[in-house]
Amino acid sequence: MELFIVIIIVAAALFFCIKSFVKIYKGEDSCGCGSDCSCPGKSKCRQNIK
Amino acid sequence: MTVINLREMNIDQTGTIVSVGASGELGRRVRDMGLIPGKQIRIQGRAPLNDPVSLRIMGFTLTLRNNEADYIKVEV
Amino acid sequence: MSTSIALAGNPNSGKTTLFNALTGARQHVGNYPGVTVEKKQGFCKTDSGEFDVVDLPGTYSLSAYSLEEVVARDYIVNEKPSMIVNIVDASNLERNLYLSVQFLEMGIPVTIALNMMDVAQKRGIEIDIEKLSILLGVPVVPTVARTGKGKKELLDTIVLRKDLNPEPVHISYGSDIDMALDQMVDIIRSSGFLTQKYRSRWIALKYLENDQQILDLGKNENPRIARELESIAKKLTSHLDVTLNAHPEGIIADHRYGFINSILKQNVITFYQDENRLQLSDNIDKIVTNRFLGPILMVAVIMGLYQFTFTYSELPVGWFENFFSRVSGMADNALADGLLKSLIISGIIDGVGGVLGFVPLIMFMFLGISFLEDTGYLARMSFMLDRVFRMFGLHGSSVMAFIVSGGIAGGCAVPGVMATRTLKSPKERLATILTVPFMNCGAKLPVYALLVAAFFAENEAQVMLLITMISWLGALLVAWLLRSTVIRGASTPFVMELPPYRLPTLKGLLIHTWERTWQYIKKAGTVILGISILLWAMMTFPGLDDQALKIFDTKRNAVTASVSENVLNEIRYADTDNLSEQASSVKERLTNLDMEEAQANLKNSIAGRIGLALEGITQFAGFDWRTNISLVGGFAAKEVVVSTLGTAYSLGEVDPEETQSLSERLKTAEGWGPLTAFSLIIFTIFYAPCFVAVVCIAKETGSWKWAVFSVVFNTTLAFGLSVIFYQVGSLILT
Ligand SMILES: Nc1nc2c(ncn2[C@@H]2O[C@H](COP(=O)(O)OP(=O)(O)OP(=O)(O)O)[C@@H](O)[C@H]2O)c(=O)[nH]1
Repeated sequence: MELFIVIIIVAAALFFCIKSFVKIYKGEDSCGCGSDCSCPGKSKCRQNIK
Repeated sequence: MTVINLREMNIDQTGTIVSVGASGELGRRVRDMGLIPGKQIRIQGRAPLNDPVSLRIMGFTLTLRNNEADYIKVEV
Repeated sequence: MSTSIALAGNPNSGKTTLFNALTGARQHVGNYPGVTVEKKQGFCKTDSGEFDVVDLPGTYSLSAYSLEEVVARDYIVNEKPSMIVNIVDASNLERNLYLSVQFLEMGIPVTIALNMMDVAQKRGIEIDIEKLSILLGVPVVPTVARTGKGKKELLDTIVLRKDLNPEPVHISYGSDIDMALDQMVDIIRSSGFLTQKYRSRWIALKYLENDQQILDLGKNENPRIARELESIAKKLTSHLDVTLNAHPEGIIADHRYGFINSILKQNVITFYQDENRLQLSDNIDKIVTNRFLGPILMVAVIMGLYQFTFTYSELPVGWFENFFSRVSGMADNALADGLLKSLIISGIIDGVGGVLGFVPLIMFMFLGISFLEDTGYLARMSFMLDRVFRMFGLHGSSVMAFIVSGGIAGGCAVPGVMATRTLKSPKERLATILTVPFMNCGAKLPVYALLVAAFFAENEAQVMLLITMISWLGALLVAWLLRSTVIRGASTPFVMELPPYRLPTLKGLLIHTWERTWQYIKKAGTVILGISILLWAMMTFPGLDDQALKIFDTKRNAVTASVSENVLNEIRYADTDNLSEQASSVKERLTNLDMEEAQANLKNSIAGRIGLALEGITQFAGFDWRTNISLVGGFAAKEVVVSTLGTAYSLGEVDPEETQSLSERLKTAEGWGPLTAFSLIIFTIFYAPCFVAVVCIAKETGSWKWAVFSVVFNTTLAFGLSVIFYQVGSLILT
């Protein structure tokens, strides 16, 4: 029983982490940095360096 | 009245811009900030290593490097 | 139906402040030109109506030379907002109108918000608003964005005038240019060349200004006409070159300023004081950027900030640590021994708690930084450091990117990477992007704070200053290395506005500080929590196999079998404080066995095995396997280094009586000392950027190549430096 609960919690954490990283990767979430974030939310970053 | 390079101006000296020889990007940036012939400028100060220079124009403060200031001729 | 409005204007004219006032958002405001580099969107609902508000990056012109200008112009042209609100700094009217004039030439609906009226008044500047409005042909509304004054009038005016496309303003550029313009306008009109999007005269102007974006668009639209227009522009250029020794761009700019002057001269603006006198600001600058005092003051300011932070945060950090110890103790009593308890205490409380414990410190740091940002001092730092930065192939504007990333303390590399957009040269920009991750970002702060508190408690501020200096020096040297090898190229102009000093508002400071602190807390409670749980699992499973367990059981049995039943009962039931000598020795042996088992379990776990495998090489830098686990976790986010160390040292700990803070645990832990701690600090400064920053680097540089480069290069560099430091340090100390 205890093992079961722990497995559920760990699986939820895993799911949450993957989800938030995918979001950040796609640029849908602002960065999760521990401070002020003026980085773009939805818009994709521009490319300008060749 | 003599015409000198902006670089040669002293701190607190005022003058009127005679010509801006810069072209391309520098020229554009300098013009966007209002450094055009006929404008009055005053040298405010220089950074600790003597470069860049800060100057007052149209009531605000602008910074410029010495080698960029070379393009600007000023009548003092 | 909501009305779409776009806020545009010069950098530092108060756009973001107005945006926040309108939408109730709390976007970053800073007294430094170019804080906003991406457009931000918000919504505002008032009695006047509903508005979709977009805050565009600040620009001095619309020439499409820099990224901000392209973003701003493209938005205006492609999204066609119902109204452009052009924020004009009333205390700096002439230069600000240069951009306004360019909007007017585009023939788009514009309302001018004449901002900073309070500043203008204080400087003895009086503006005849009605006259200005008539002469420019667009509504002008006075505002004070900081207090929200004029907000309602502005919105009412917008509702009244929205979607009305005014006739574009027609400025005469002298006979030569005017003639060429007319000729071009005819061609453009008759062929409908690009006219769905732009006004014909404006297109012609852009051809004369040699605007790359429009030239390319033209080539795609109709190569024949594009060539025709280009040849007219070329002919004019060479004509002007011969007759006036000037370029059309220059003449156009002169006439624009001439136009503005002709308006202002009609008694629109009156100065009651000398317009060039910004007494207070100038006097401050005389001292702050003084040749000798300037650099000393700069170091003193940073040192002062650290001193302030460490001194005042010590007490509250202690409270936070006590609080988490108590929570951990409560959980210990409430829960039965087992996996769940271990997850909650070692994984969550000791992991996340370690990160949250530093909230007060982070808050004080943010307060100081916000203050510096709002005063306008940071722009002076750019000014003073430009020359130094140029020697290393960077640019004065890189200073700001460094500071945003945590150059002083507590920033973030992601907005730092974004802030490099103010750099015009792609080469300088790339070099800056690749070096900003070395700064002391908010996520690295708890790592430094932890190690500094544990091993350098007497000189916290000094060591912090040392860390900052190492990171800047490292960044500069790496930039120099890159700029003299893979990304060579000339330097670009440093034409920057030095904003006047402003006294920050208390409300602004508090909001700003809280906003950043909240971000930190939120991240600890979400992503860091998730990662902590995962790492706990990796440090717990698969656990010991039956054989190993049996060995520990036999050992335990051997201990218990050696004493009488009485002693065992005493251990079980009697008060811990007054055990007989025999009982307490047995108890100690049992506890030691438990600890040994926990250690063995940790070593045998997935993470433990990884850590042990890495120990083969990391031992040269003084890192044991537990540190290795935390550093591997730190690739996801730097706070994880702290939370993982918290979990790792909590898992090995079985004595429930002692709930120490992590820094106390490290102080007494085997293998730790100032040398190891500083080696770890060096590694943390330089090693791979966190996951989010890597993604951002990939996006901003447009290729994964540089992202991979920064991970591999930085980690190698960090490891090399730590090894050198540790080895040399060990030699000296022994
Ligand atoms: N006294 C006064 N200060 C103001 C007013 N509006 C803005 N400020 C201050 O001016 C500074 C610049 O404001 P921002 O809103 O960041 O300017 P911005 O135009 O968004 O600047 P960028 O993001 O750099 O383009 C801040 O320090 C504000 O507090 C005003 O009406 N009166």
